[in-house]
Amino acid sequence: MLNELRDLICEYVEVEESKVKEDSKFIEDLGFNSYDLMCLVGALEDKYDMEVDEKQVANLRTVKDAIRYIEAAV
Amino acid sequence: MIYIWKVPAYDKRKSKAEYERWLSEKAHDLLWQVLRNVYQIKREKLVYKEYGKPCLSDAKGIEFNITHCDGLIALVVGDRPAGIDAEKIRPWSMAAMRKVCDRKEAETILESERNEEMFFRYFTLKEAYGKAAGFGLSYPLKEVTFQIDFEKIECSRSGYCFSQYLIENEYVLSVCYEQRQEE
Repeated sequence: MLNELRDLICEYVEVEESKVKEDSKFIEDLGFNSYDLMCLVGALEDKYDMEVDEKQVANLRTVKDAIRYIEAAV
Repeated sequence: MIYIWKVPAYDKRKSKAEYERWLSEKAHDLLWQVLRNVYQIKREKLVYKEYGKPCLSDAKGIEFNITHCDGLIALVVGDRPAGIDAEKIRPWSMAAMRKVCDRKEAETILESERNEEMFFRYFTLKEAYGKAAGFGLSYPLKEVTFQIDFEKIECSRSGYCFSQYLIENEYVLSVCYEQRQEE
């Protein structure tokens, strides 16, 4: 799961793959802005055929949060 | 009043996270220069509401909101709640469009000769609305829709009015204000 997410993240932000870790924070560590986050959420919905509740987006602070969210949803 | 600053653009030799941190610090410095020099407000009055929206603790009658993107910082200050968002016009993601736009908006974007500009016109309107209303992007963006007809912007939600600017054919800037009763 981490590797799949790493690939998606690197599609949207310019970050070295090795720097994407489970405890990486999207905004502080990976440099995501609101548009990047919306791209990633849209891509996750497409890839895992799920719907991300917008109210939960603010709670997806780290890569691990996203992994947990996907695992619970699919 | 809207304040706009051009700032150095993202240098790909550095990390994006580093640039975003610098941009955020620069934006807050500029915000405080304006609040201090124009409105005589002290720095310790800054507080953060839900979803991280900054506001002033006891400066009734002064509302502000700030935005930054690659190469640009903008600030709106006024006497009523407002939200502002700027984006550099660039290739956009279909995944983001599906998350952000309803079917009619998506059709408008795809049919537009200037589809990159059109996508970010919708995106910035929706983010500016979310910021003015106080919930950022934590709302169903597809359900708040816009009709953009040249300079006229209509929103499916009442109670707010909008203005939008194209800056040097490079950036889209949208501002959302809470509507006054007499408007």
